[in-house]
Amino acid sequence: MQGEVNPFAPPRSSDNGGGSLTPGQRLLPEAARRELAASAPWALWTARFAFASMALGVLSTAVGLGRARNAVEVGGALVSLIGLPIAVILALVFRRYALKAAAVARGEPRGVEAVIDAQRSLMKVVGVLTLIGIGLSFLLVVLGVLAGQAARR
Amino acid sequence: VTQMEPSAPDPSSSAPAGGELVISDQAVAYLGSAGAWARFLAVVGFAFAGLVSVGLLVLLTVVRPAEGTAQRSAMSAAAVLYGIWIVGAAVGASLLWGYGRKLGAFTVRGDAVALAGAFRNLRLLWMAGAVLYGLAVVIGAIIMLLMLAGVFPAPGTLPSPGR
Repeated sequence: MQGEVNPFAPPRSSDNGGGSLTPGQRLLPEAARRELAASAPWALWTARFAFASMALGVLSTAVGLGRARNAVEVGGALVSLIGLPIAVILALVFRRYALKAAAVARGEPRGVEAVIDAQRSLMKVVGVLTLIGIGLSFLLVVLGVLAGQAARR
Repeated sequence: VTQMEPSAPDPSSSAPAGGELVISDQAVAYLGSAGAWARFLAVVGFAFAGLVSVGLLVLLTVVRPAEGTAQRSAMSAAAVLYGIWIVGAAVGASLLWGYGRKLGAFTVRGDAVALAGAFRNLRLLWMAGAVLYGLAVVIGAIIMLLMLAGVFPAPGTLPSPGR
């Protein structure tokens, strides 16, 4: 029955070994649950700011296109859109994490695995974006060096 | 004393009888993966901070400050921006490194205190990130307003000779 304690139950530790835990399962410490819950609003704000930066990027491009007088200026205005897919991806992964962390804050039993999965996918997405950024930077440097060598000939 | 009926635990459930939340072995594997990515990002962040520091040193020593007031102001503004990038990258990388290290302590040794510390690092990282992202959006909005007012040129457009 809920709320009553079995006096013959084995002792529980804070990190592992509750009475109904299966092998491999560990208890989520209360301090960790509080930290997860407290991180939800900040992740949600990050998602909101990412959505706002998307809107700013689109508006900035529209203004640039409206004032463009030639093809070079049109190209320059479209450069503002480079950050758009990154902002969309960041907004979505941060929003997902924030919603899952809020579920843990409400004490939803299945929320723990979901929020940890969201944490993993967030780190992975940012890591992959970073790898792409490093690759593109390296490519630009190589292209710049090659263009410089071609200009000297 | 209430008679307790023995029952097999439901492997799909995340809540034992006491109402505590549990971390499944699958979630522990997720934490291991998150920690590895976090440590990679931390290394990139430290490298970025180092590279920008070198850039700042070059700006302050090799590139001699120009004579004009406008050039000096531009140099100072660039130095401040570089400084913000360096501090931001170093702090972010430190928090990520701590997060990855503490997750390792939890997944390998089952250190529950380390797990709470890792999540604290993550919360601080999201806090700092949200504040910096918010500042960037506000600055972007101000630049947008100045652009609409004609004070700043629109992206990609060159100032006309009359401006």
